[in-house]
Amino acid sequence: MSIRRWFPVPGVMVVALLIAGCGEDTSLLDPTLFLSPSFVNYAVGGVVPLAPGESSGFILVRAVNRTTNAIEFVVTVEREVFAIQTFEPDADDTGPTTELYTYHLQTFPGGLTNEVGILIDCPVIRVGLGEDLNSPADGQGLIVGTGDEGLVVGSGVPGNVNPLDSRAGNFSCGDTLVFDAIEVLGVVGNVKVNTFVLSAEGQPATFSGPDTFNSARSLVDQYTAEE
Amino acid sequence: MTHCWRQVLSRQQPSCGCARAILLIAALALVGGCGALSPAFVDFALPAEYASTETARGHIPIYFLSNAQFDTELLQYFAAIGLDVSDPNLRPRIRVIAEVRFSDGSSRNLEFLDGSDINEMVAFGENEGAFVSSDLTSAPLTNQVVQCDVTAIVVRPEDIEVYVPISITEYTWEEVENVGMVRRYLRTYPPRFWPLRVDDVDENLNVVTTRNLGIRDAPGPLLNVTCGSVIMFALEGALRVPFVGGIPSWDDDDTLQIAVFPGRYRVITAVR
Repeated sequence: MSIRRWFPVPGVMVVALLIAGCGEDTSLLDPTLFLSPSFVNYAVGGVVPLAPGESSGFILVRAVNRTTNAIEFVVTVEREVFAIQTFEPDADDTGPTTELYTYHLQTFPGGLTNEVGILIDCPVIRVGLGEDLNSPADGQGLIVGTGDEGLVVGSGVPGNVNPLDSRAGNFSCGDTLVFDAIEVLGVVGNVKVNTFVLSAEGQPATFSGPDTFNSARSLVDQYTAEE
Repeated sequence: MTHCWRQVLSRQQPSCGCARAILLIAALALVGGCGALSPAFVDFALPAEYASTETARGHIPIYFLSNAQFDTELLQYFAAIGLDVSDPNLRPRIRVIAEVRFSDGSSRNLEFLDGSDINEMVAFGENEGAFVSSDLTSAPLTNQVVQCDVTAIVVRPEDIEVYVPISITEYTWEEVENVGMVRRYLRTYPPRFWPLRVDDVDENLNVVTTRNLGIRDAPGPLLNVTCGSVIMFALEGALRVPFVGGIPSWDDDDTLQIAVFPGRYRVITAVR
């Protein structure tokens, strides 16, 4: 079939895209009418939030794998918790203390399986790679290898990034923390991790799509068993 | 290109060369959006640094929470053997595998963990388990956040497992000459995760064998999940074990007790 017969079709779509505009305030029509919401969010934003926002009471930790290997991110979170005297009747101090929680996030190369995240309740003090946040250059911050039925099997390498510290102003409640693994030859495991923070303050106040993280908060509050 | 646009504006049918050029631009625009028409298109075409950190498709948080409890009789048994049950939040350890399928054809399994870790139970009592795996001691992992777009989230009943932290003994009845029927030790099931099973039903959906989940209480697949929505699976129920003579055990011919072990549950699915 002649290419000229099909010419008007993409032409109409291009015009539609131009009408839709290039930003939140410039579109005459909702671009998600023509394009998938995830694509529009990816290109110009404004459909769904990328950071939880302070009102949700979460931080989002994202583990992004942009290498050709499966990687398990060993993410440790230091949180402030309050000691309850009921369980330790002889305790002298019932004030706040800190606890470490370690999560193993599996990522696989290529496609949409290269990233996974976790929502952590605020207040969060530090977030880093490896079980010991005080020794980021030692221990296993990443497991690099192959993916076998949803589990990463391989060898451990240090994360070699300093933990992000809310007391130092690296992040606040509501932000998104990104651990981004890229392939670099000549370093241990041929993997290097960069850390980024997406501030909740930098994103729009309203979105055309679901309010993801505030919805998550209300669902968790609704379904968590009462203590 | 100017003569191509003249052809278009004058409503002439463009030549093949012009049509190809305009099609190419249209394809680039569709793929790249507004960024494809800007000088930053090269950065967009190589989105490694740009896309992963400053932009994203959107996220879908998936939660699996366990509100399951220990049966009262089981708690009394725990206390009797010296396990610490003073924590009012003591809950069975649950492990769940959810399969997530994405719009690009890839798929992955997500593992969730919830419930008290085993150290909370054995800290002041006897340690029944010789080796405690990380599934029992690691921090609960009750949510994971995946990228859009998700075409299906599948949780099968057999992928929901409940950890029974004590050994279960199985007996059998044996006829002994001049004595009669005698209960004889058959085997011991060590502490382990037990998968849940759905009731057996007939063609009219009448329950034939009661197991752990009713057919209406089992999780079903979620299809074409909207980008940005939140998925919650919540497990309710009670971990129960049968007792024979005060010992967690069953007779091998007690099919009703075996079928319903380790208790009765339901899964509530919520999408917001």
